[in-house]
Order: sequence, then C-alpha cells, then structure tokens
Amino acid sequence: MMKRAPLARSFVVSCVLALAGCIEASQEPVAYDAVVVSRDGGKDESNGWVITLSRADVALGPFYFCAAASGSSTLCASSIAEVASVSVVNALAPVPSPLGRVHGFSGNIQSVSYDFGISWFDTQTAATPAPSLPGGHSMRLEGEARKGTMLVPFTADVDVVPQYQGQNALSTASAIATIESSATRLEVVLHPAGWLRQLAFDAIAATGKVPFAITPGSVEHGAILVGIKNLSPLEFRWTPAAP
Amino acid sequence: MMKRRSEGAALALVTLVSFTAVAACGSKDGGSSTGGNGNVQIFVVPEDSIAKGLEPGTELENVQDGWTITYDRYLVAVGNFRARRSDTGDTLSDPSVHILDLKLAPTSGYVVKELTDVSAVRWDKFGYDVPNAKAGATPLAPTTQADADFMIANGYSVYYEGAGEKGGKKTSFKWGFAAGTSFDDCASPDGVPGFAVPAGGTVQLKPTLHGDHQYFDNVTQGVEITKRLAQWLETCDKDANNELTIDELKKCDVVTALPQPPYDLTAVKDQDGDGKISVFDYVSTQMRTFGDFQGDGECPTRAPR
Repeated sequence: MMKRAPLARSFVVSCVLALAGCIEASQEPVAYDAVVVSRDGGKDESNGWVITLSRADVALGPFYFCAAASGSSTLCASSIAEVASVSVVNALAPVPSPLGRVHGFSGNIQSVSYDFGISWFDTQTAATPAPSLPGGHSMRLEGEARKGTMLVPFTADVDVVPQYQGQNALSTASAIATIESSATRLEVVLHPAGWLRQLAFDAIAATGKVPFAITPGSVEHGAILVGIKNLSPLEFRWTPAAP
Repeated sequence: MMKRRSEGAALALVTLVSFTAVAACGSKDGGSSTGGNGNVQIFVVPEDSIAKGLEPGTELENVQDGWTITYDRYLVAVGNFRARRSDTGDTLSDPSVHILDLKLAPTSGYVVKELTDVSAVRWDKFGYDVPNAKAGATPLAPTTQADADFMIANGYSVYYEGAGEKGGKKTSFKWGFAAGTSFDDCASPDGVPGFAVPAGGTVQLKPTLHGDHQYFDNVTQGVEITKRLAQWLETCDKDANNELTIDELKKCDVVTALPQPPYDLTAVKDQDGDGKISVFDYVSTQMRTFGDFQGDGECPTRAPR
C-alpha cells in the first residue's frame, strides 16, 4: 500500500511552496474505490468458435496512473495516482468486484501501466509473483470452445510477466480522466473471453487432447498474452461515486 | 520500485507546485529570453541504421540473433514542422511536406527549412509529421520526382527496400506502410524539451528517423530499453523463396514469429483490422514510432496523422 506518511509530508511541503510561490490553485490529495467490472459474461466468438468461460480467477495490480501520455516507467517516473495492492478477482462475477483504493492527487490522468500480480521492481532481481496469486499464476481460466459438432474444453494457467526490470507487464495503456475530488470511482473493465481471440482453436481441436491444458511457455500461452495486451486490453473509466 | 512509485506521487505534486509557482510569479517569457533574434535550420537526418545498416553482435545497437540488415532505398514523407512557446503561445510552423530518400541523404542530412529572425528564447514544444504522402509533397535532391510520385500514388508514409542476411542466407524485402504519424513534445537526448535559439546565432534542429525499430523486441516508450532481433524475417518467409512480402507479413502470426518472451507486444495495434495480431501489425506499429529528435531524443507524443 502507499506510504501515507511521506504523502502527508509532501502535501504539507507542497502547500508551503504554493503559498510562497503565490499560485492560485494546487492539486488535492484524493482517495477512492476501484472495482472490476466484467463486460462479456465470459462469452466471445472468434473464427466461428463460440468461447464460454466457466472460471476466470485473475490477479490485478499494482496500477500506476500517469499525467503523461505514456505510462511507461521511462517517461513516467512518478505516478499521479496508484492502486498499490494486488487483488485476485472473479472476472466472471455479475456484479462489480472490489479492487482496492486509489490513492493519489487530483488532476489529469492520461495513461496507466500495470501488472497482473507479477511485478519486477527496481529492487528485485527477477519478476516476482505476489503471494496471493491463483496457483502462483497471473490467472487461471477454464472453459470450452464450440464450433459445429466440435467441442474443446480447455484450462489455462497464464503468467503476464514484465519484460525488463523496472517495467510493468503492461508498460503503457490509455486511461483518460480528470479527477477533481474523491467523489469518484474507478471501474476496470475486463473482457476475459476476448483474451482467447488469437488462439487457433482449429489446431487445438486437431490435437485431440481433452481438456487442452495451456501452460506458460506454450504457443497457446503466447496467444493468450496477445489477447490480453492487444486484442482485448483492460479499459479504465471513472464514474461518480455511489451516494 | 513500488516505494519509488508511492513516494513518487507525492514528489510529483511537490515538483508540479514548485514549477507552477515559478511560472505564476515569473516574467511573461518565463525568464527564458536572451534578447534579440536568431536563426533556425531544420535538417532531416537518417540514423546510421539506415545509412549503414545493422550489424550482428552483442553490443547494444547490434542485432542479437546474428542477422545483418541493409537498406538500398528508404523513402519517407516528412514535414509540417512546428514549434511553440508554452509561456507566450507564440508559434513557428512550416506546413510543407517533403519526400526524402534517407539512404541517399547528404552527410549532414537534408536541409528542409531555414527560419530567420526568430526570437532568441527557448521554444519548448517541437514536433513534426511523417504523414501518408499526398499530392503536393515535394522531393529534395537527390530524391527524385519519380520517388515522390511513387509515395503519393501509394499513400505511403514510409517505404523501404533492403535485405536481412544470416549464415549465407539472404531474405530481401520491399515494404510500404501508410502509417502516418505526428511526433510531438520532442526533447533532446538528455531530455531537454524543444530547443533554444541563440541571439545572433543559429540552432540546428535534427528530426532523426530511425531504421531499427522494426527489429526491436518491444514498442519502446521513451528510453529505448530493448534488444534487436530479426529471426522473424526467415520465420515469416513461408514460401522460403528468400523474398518476404507484405502479404506474408499479414499472414505471419506473432505468436510463433515474435514469441513472448523475449518479445513484449504491448501497444501493438491491429493495424489492418483483421481481428488478429500479425507481424504486419507489429512492423506497421513500429513505423509509427521511428521519429526521434537530435539523434536519440524522444518525441513521446505520437498520434495517427
């Protein structure tokens, strides 16, 4: 979690500087809830295959929001807001799932970088899973794909790992908001069945393996990473906080 | 990193407030004026990777998996140079667009614009476009009118011909992309935004176009933390005729050609809208990142153009 004491000290210093510098306005500290919203009910269609997920346990976090257009650690050394914790959520839940608190400051947000529970901080020699991960992986997916008379049950253990030390697994993505106060809520929108769109289900069916188990390092695992990062990435939206 | 990030949010505020305070209490030009006027020369410069190619090896700029890359022709559309002062809102602009063969660039680059009697201050915003070529784009010698006509007829922002070679096997390519992009908020390699015009002198601005992003193992943001790899040239040449075409790139699945790891495909877009990510999407995305400034300085604000 964010270290509150340094934050408080910094804000006091900021106010003093603001008065000394005769500015007209400054940023305010804010804190508000973040939730996960599942958009597709675990269903999607790709190349004639109807995909239905029955399980999607997904580790999310930390998240770093940036005022710059790129959330990359090389262009955004200091975040304007963050969700420092890692949460494991049921990405098929019909109602929003809590993701923790966003701590930061008011102002414009233009980008975000984030992890799926596996982080590689500057202080670590290797990418490291958070203790709470499902089976030690970023996510566990289970479901089936149907096309005509063909049925492919599958399982997938997925690791979304930062490429280099000091970077996040998703090094930058768009996230646009102007935060004026704590009376807001962050919704992280997931489309988990969309993560399977790059999978070649025809080839998987041809293997005859039932269920087909997708594990890190496999070609199919790489296809799911493409779905997560490129074809169906997380979406970020801010709504007024519930009264 | 988490601690740095956590404390970083607070640090960001302190920094912002401090800068705001200076701006609020400073003079109209932010104290950057040196008085008088000066001149601006704009050169378009190819990175050495275009002029000299890329060598295999283990050094940072080498191709790590043994490939040698050479270019025979490297056409770009480039122009719409612009500068702005954040403190006063004053602007400089030149909307002209040129077609340049970077492989044939003069030693110091193409001089595309000279501006005189420019206020001798810091112009903290600088940007330019690599647009899809349209009628009106003009060649600068030794680039020919035929080169310009070719780019305009195809609507390309960039087109190049060359080859990759490894172990005696050569794979040639001729690829054009309509990947028009604006590059803004350009900064020098040490991160100083824009440029300063010296009173009575001339500042040289060098939008620098890179020829190695196609071989990066990620889509860089800011500092180029990446490795250069080119094995996908052979992987995607499905008919093994040693000529890799755009159609082959579009049929080449990134999952097998650009495996993660070592690749990270974050920020690669489905450029052709086919619902899948192919190597064409990867290379086309990279052709929206290759505009830099003063050598290796970044222009981090990029948008389709």
